[in-house]
Amino acid sequence: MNEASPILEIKNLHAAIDGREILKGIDLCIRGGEIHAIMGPNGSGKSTLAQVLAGHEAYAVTAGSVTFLGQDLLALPPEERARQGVFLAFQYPLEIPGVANTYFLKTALNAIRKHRGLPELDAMEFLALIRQKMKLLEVDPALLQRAVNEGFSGGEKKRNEILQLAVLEPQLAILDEIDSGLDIDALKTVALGANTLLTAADSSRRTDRAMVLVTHYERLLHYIQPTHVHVLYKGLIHQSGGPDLARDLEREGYARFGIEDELAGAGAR
Amino acid sequence: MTGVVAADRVGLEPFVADRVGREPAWLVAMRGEAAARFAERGLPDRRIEDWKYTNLAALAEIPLAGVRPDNRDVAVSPARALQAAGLPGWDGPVAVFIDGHLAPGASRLGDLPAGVQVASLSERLSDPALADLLRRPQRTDDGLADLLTALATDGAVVEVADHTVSERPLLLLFLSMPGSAPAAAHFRNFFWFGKHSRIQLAELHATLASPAVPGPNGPRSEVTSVAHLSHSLGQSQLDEGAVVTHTVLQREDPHCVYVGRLQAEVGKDAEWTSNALSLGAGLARWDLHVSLTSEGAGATLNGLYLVTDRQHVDFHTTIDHAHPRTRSRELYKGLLDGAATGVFNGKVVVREGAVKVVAQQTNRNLLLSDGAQIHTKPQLEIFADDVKCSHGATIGQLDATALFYLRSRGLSADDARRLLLHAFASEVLASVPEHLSGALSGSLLECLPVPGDFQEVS
Repeated sequence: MNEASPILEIKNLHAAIDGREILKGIDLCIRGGEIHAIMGPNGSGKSTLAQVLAGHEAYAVTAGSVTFLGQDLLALPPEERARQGVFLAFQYPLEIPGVANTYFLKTALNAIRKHRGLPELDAMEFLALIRQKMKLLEVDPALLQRAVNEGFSGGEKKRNEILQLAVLEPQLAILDEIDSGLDIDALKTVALGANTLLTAADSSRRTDRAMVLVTHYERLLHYIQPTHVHVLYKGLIHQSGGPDLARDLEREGYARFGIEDELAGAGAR
Repeated sequence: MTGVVAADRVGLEPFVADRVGREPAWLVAMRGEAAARFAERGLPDRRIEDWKYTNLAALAEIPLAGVRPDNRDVAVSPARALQAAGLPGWDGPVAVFIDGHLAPGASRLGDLPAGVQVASLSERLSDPALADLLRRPQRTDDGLADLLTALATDGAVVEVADHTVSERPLLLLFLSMPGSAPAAAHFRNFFWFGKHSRIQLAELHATLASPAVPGPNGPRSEVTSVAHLSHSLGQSQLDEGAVVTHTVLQREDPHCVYVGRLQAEVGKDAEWTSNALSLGAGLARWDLHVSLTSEGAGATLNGLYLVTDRQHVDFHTTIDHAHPRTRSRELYKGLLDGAATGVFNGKVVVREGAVKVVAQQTNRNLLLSDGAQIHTKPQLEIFADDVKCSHGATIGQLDATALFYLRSRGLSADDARRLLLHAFASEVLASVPEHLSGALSGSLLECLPVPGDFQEVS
């Protein structure tokens, strides 16, 4: 699997918000077909990393580089990153009153298709596509007609993020605490969406796509099995390993790594 | 007293003198009295609380009592009138008024809904019922009201017979045609809605360039360059059980000072929905007054103002709950960009004994630039017990995280911004009649501070 070419290369990444440095030199190489879990206690910088990769303007990158499919990701505005194949599933998906979910999804998909030189989908084609995805992910069709995330339950919001993922089919999917606030059924659905993204028609692992899972808890990793696990602490990757590392963490807690997790057990931030 | 414009220079007396013999004596006398009051108090200025943020100095360069050429017979086709109003696709009945005068050649009155009549006020002056209406007090009592009484000679009279039910909205276009020199138009409209009638009515106020000053080709040719005043008062009466939606869209050119007043008397179990949309004019002042005159009367007031550059918009609304079990709901939203300023003053009065009143007021504003300003003030005057009244006002900016969310899905920054602005406005647009909302939505979007086409947002 390691012969696959890198999709994302992060080198010595430093990032700050409001003058406070959060990421203090991250190095990470993610190749096609890989699933990297970024774990760590609250406040370690996991979500910051996800937001920086998606291009949130509140964060200033103060040093380092990020290369996505051979090009400088940090030079691109968020929409360009999305069009080139980066997708961030938000920890707290935004409610956008007044914008129908279906309209939002179609606009997003066509912006991306246009960028890729594909013809835009008309209303009928889009409806056919979305119906198929909604069926797979067991999303209530009524959610399509409602305003984006408005009044959705926590689980509905996360399912909606995964529906967007399934429709937009990114090459790099970053799922930020996708498991927080989910019951077991919703968690399975979300995992199905994520796993489907990385599965080819012949059931083999696709080598042209990759995934980053940001999570506080190991539970998610029973459903989406990572190829690599990293422990992030105080803005640095403290330790990296294979799936075993996540099991060690679950069994022995962060303390084994000399990490204080003052909020462990209190739920996601 | 002298206000922003010296009263003695307006020339009301010669105007009134000129009406003698051309109008019923009582009307000329009424004009004379108004002229005398105006000489006393002049135009409202900023020392008056209701005019604290709005300065009428721009009126100084407009001859307020100047007699404007009567343009009603100028060859304006319905198509051109609709184009000027931003509704080129409208294929229903339309009554076009140029500077307040009904222009039959520009109108399509042939297929008015059954039970609906549209006439010109000047042709109805001998009608005793109308004389009664003309004498009714104006709810906003100030120098502008005097000007209107003294100077308005025409306008629209719309009568909807009892039990009339019309699915198609009636469209009235009020076009300002200022010509080549600064000018003023004062006109008054009457709307009668019979018992249990149900109808949607829409007024559009826009500027039509005079043929004397042809512009370059293209839609910009409707933009004139002279200062002008469009000053109107609409008086509505809803009889028992009438259900009326009255939409007013103002999109005059930037040289226009727009003063639009609307007052409604809502009868027993009648429902008045007002949609007030203010997009154009350099300065727009709206005064809306609703009297809930019987038990069970209800009013919904929706408003949207969208201003940029140095535009100024001022909404003063008053809802008078004079009787028990009357209801009102008010939602005003503003988008302010550039160095524009806005005023929202929402007054709700619940009179003594008016129990079981429910009144809810909301004003939300988005400031899109550092230079934009909004003054918002709720004004609740409650003299009864056992009422439910609430109000809330917000002033904010576009949510940066929401913008990021949309951009992270591939929408350009402009598209994301436009989508959020349209979403903000859509709550108000949702109450605009279906037949009109498509057309209105298009013209509203043209006015959003970012370019583009978002026809299918909702």
